[in-house]
Amino acid sequence: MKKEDIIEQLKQIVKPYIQNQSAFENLSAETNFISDLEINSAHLVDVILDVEDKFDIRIENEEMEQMTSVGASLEIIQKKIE
Amino acid sequence: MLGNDVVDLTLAKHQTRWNTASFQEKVLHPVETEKFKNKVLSFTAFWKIWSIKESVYKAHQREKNHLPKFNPFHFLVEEISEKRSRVCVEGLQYEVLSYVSSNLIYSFTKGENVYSFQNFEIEAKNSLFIPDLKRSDINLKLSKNQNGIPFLNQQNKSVPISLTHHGKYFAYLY
Repeated sequence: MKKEDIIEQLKQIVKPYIQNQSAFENLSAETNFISDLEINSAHLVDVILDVEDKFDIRIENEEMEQMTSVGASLEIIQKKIE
Repeated sequence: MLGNDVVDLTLAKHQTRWNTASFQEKVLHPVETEKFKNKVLSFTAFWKIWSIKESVYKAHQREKNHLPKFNPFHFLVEEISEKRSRVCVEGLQYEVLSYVSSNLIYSFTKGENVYSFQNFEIEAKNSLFIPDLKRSDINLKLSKNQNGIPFLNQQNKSVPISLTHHGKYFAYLY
C-alpha cells in the first residue's frame, strides 16, 4: 500500500474524533493527534482500535505509546502490513 | 506535582467500546488486567480509573518534562478507595483524590497548598476563567512549554497550572 493511501485512510479514521478542523484540513505526516488535532485521550484508544480493524493488524501497547502523530502511525502501520 | 482530569459521564457513554477487552487492555496495566480478569468493570469504575490515570499522567509528565505520550497502561493504580487512590509509575508514587457524581468524575493529585477550581461548568471557563486571564490589572498569561505542559505567567513569575476539559465540564488546579 502506498504511503499516500495509508495517510488517506488514517485521515478517515481520525475524522470523527478531531476537535481542530483547520489542523485536520492541513493534515500531514507531522500532524500530532494530541496537540494539533486535539483528539481527546479516550478517543486515541478509538483511533488505535480503528487502525487495528482497518489494516487488520495488532498494535502492541509499546507501539501505541509512539503513535501520537500521523508520521509515527504511518511508520508502524507500514512495518506491520509489509 | 499537579495533574487533574474530569470525565463528563454523558459524553463517556458515547464511548461505546469502553467495556470491550480490546479497549481495556490498552488502558490497564498488565497487573490490573490480571486483577480484573473475568470481571467486567462497571461504567463508573472504569472511567474513575481512567480519570485517576490521566491526572497522574499530567503530574508525571510535568515532573519529568516528558514528551507527550499515550501510555495509560504504564500507570498502575495500586490502591483505590471511594475518594483516595495511589498510583505508581517509573518508581514514583502519586496520591490522587477523586470525586464522583452522577454527571461527572473528577480526579486530582494531592499536594500541599494546591487550589482546585471545581465549578466544573464549561460556561465558567468562558465567563470567569478566560476574562480573568484577560484582565489587564493582573496581566496573567497562559502558556505551554515545548512539551505542551501549561503554566500561568505573571510578569516574571511562572506558576504551574493543570487544566482539564471534557464535554460540559472544566476544572483547573494550581
